[in-house]
Amino acid sequence: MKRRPVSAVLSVFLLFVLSGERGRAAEKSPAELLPATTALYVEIAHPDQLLDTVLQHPLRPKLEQTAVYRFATTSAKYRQFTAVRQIVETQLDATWQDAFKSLSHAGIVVGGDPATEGIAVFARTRDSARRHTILDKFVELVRLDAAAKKHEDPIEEHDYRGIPVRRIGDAIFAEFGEYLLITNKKDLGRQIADQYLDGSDSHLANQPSFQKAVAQRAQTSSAGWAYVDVAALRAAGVAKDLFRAESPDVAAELILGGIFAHLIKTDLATATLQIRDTDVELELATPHAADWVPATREFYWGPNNQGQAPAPITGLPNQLAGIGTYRNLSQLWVGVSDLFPTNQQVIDKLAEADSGLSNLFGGRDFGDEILGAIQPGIQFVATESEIPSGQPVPTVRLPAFALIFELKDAATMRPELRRTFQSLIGFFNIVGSTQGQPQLDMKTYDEPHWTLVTSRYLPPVDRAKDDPVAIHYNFTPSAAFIENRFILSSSEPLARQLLQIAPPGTPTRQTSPNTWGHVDAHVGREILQANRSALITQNQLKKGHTPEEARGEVDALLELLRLLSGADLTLGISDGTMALKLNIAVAN
Amino acid sequence: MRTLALMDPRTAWAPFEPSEKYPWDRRAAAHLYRRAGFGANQQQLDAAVSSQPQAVVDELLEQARINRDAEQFDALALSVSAGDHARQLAAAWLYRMQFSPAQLLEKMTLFWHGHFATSCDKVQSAHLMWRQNDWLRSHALGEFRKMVQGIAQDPAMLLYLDSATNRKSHPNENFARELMELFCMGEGQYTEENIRELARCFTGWEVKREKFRLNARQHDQGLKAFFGREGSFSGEAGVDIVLDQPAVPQFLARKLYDWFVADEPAPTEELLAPLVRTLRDSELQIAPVVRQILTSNWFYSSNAIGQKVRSPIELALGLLLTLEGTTDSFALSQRLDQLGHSVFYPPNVKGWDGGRTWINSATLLARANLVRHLLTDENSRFGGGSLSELVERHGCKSPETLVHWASDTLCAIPPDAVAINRLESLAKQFSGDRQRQAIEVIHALSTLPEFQLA
Repeated sequence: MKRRPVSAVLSVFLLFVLSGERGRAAEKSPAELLPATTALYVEIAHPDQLLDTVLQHPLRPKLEQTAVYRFATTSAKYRQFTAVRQIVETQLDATWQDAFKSLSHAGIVVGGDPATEGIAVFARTRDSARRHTILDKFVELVRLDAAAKKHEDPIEEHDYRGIPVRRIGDAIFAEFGEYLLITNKKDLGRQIADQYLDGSDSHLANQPSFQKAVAQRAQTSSAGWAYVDVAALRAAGVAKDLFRAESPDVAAELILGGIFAHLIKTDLATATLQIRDTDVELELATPHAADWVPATREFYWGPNNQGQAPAPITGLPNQLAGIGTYRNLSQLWVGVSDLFPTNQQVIDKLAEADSGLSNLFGGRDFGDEILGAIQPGIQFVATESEIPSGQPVPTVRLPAFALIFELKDAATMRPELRRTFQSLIGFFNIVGSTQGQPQLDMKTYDEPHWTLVTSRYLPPVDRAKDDPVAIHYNFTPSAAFIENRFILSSSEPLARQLLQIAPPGTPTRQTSPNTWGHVDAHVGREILQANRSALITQNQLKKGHTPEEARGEVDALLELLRLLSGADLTLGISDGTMALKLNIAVAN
Repeated sequence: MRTLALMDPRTAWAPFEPSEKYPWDRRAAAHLYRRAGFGANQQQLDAAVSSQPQAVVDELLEQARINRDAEQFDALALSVSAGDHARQLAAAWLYRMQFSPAQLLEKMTLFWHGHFATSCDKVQSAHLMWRQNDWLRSHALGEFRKMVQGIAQDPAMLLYLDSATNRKSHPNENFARELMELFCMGEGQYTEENIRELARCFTGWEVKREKFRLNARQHDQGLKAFFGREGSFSGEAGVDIVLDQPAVPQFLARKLYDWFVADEPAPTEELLAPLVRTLRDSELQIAPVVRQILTSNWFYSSNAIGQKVRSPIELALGLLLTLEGTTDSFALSQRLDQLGHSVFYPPNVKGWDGGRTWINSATLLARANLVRHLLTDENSRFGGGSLSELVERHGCKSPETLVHWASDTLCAIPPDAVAINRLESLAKQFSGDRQRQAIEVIHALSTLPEFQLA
């Protein structure tokens, strides 16, 4: 549906109105006004500072130099929007930034209450007279807009126990004390107003779990802070999939099993957002108790929940991503029937796979003897792909990737793994030959300190110049061994690079979290750039764009990536807290 | 059962002379674009009406000859075929059908794809399917003889009809049979002996490394005798002998009539005679007979207008082109698959039956759902914006004007007054929401029998 420009600006204006700052001591805080049943609390303590940080961010001038920004700000819709914004600003006698700040310097709080299914937004200001003036002018504008469109008066006005209340569509606005309250549910609005006027001990601030979250809140200022009453959500049956003792499948268990263990036990979770000139950081945290993690999930967190990820491999050229995590694969494999007690399908599939893999490994038990021979801890790396000389360059370039393991007994396991890798390549060749697929040619390099087994697809014969080069030419599957390290790589050049980086020996276990990850935006951009034409093709087909439109959108994405440096993620347990931290850094 | 209106064959295929009964107006131009392509927007129709019908057809043929932007569309297909996903290739072709200025060429390529039906289900190579598609496009309006010779050695076709394992000790008769029955002559025009002899011509034809190859050791060098000819014929000579048969132009004329003119009733031999003559005189050139059909009195008469059931592809692309729409080609391809019209995956060697077989109680609902999907898909745009903006631009300010505009532009035959009244009542229910109103009206329109016809 087409949105009228005036309405659009007025909607944006609504957002400006939702602002405030920490109030005077005499005024009740939003937490003291929200009902005890509140399950979600989001606080932006200093919206004015946040606005300044965003508007004066070093990224802004760079963003303004991009073609996508220039295009967006010269469009007819944007010009319409600007014109209407100017009308509103003239009417308010203030720029939208000033209006926002004067209404929001005392903070913004959003509360979510499952009992009433309501959302309440508190905007707090010390200048309630100014707020009242701005709101009156805003109401006047809405009425003028409706009259111009020959619509009925969209605003209902009444009074609740002396508090003026306005209703516009589904939104209810009420002004009292330092607050402007906006809510979508009448019942929630009434409860808040009654609490403001009468006061009682039953409110969110008195809830033990909220008090615990506030007590644990870091003293350093943050752009935003949120609290979730997880116990209430569990009881209300919200997002049931998050609160199940059993994961839906093995992949989910491997990635999220340890987090699920906390979500079914914890009473609360918090989120903290930091916005700085150099980066944006989001931390999600729950309390942690040692006995919350059952023995079956020791594979995830390690003994005494102290399992640490391998130290990151550094020095790889053009590294796109790296992930390191503590996972005891052997424990996961042999414990699958306890992890999935009600999911017979998973158990059956794993049993079938176990039988096949045990055969492949010469009758050795796959869970105990093969996976058991690997140290807990896996590292994954991805780099920009390098096509070995003599190989055709595929039309679509995929990143190269590798898994790195440390073996407990390299002398015993090396021949076993090498032979199995060779068998697998032979198996692929036999299956491929029945389907007319190209064959893999295998080579083994045995050096005093390392061994490398590589395979390459034979180049196509009689290929016409314009024929596309199939996607599988991205792969030169390889296995490499050096000291205790076992490398399984999609690409021979990457395997060779990993061999050149000396194994670090025992990883530094003092500081490593359970899981870490890193993505390099610059390399990501280079990879996307190498596949620009394929991305444009996909964009054309997916969005029905013309080639020009598709090029514009893909190039905009590449430009935006240029503004970012990368992202880091960590997951770990320390000081009685499980924390997941995501940091996105902007380019210098 | 409907019968053909009276018109002598000579007048029937003579150049169209607009009359009061059959004027050259937007409706006639829309009919031409629906048959010779997949549809046209109002601007294209207005431009066509300001010209002459013959000139518009000549322009369509010229666009097919120039095949502008072919490199760009080829690159699109090659790019998606690198992943060897024929489903993605289908999306690339649907995109081409919609965006290519050579609408008649794409329509003819789709015709030949159904004629020389080959499915990726068996071929298992998007790349080979693309090469075949490219061949069909290159010869779609050219010499039929050259096209058949190429198809006979096309790796995808050889794999599909098991001709790639044709040995002299065990000639495979599949391709020989289909060449005569489905590709060139039709049923009843050959004997089992003809099949056996012709199959011997193709022995030794193989596919090696995705390319055609003659394995001379496996080729039957002996004498073969069929259709009154005797000799040590090669496969190429065998194809030529088949194409020399008088049944070929008759067969082709009937298929082109079915494709461009009407699903039923079947035309008489007398009616087809001028088309057969054109094919024979031009040595089986396709463009002249297509021009003859598209510029004829018969084509713009009640014998043709609204006398075909829209295939799912025609339904979807017709809607998009008429409403200046663009959408997600991958999603469209999936939806068409559910309706049994998945390019590169024809149901069998006979291709799609077409006509009334497109319609049954299940597909009727699915066709309406397809229309709703196209109107509501998050990637669908109309005239570069929303549907409500488009209808507003076309002056649809009231429920009545919206219904009138929609039925006029989207239906080959106007719905009756009862249906129009129902649509207007429906439009009034959504007066407060222009977008929803347009969606509901067009969706309801798509459930009418008139909407199913082209």
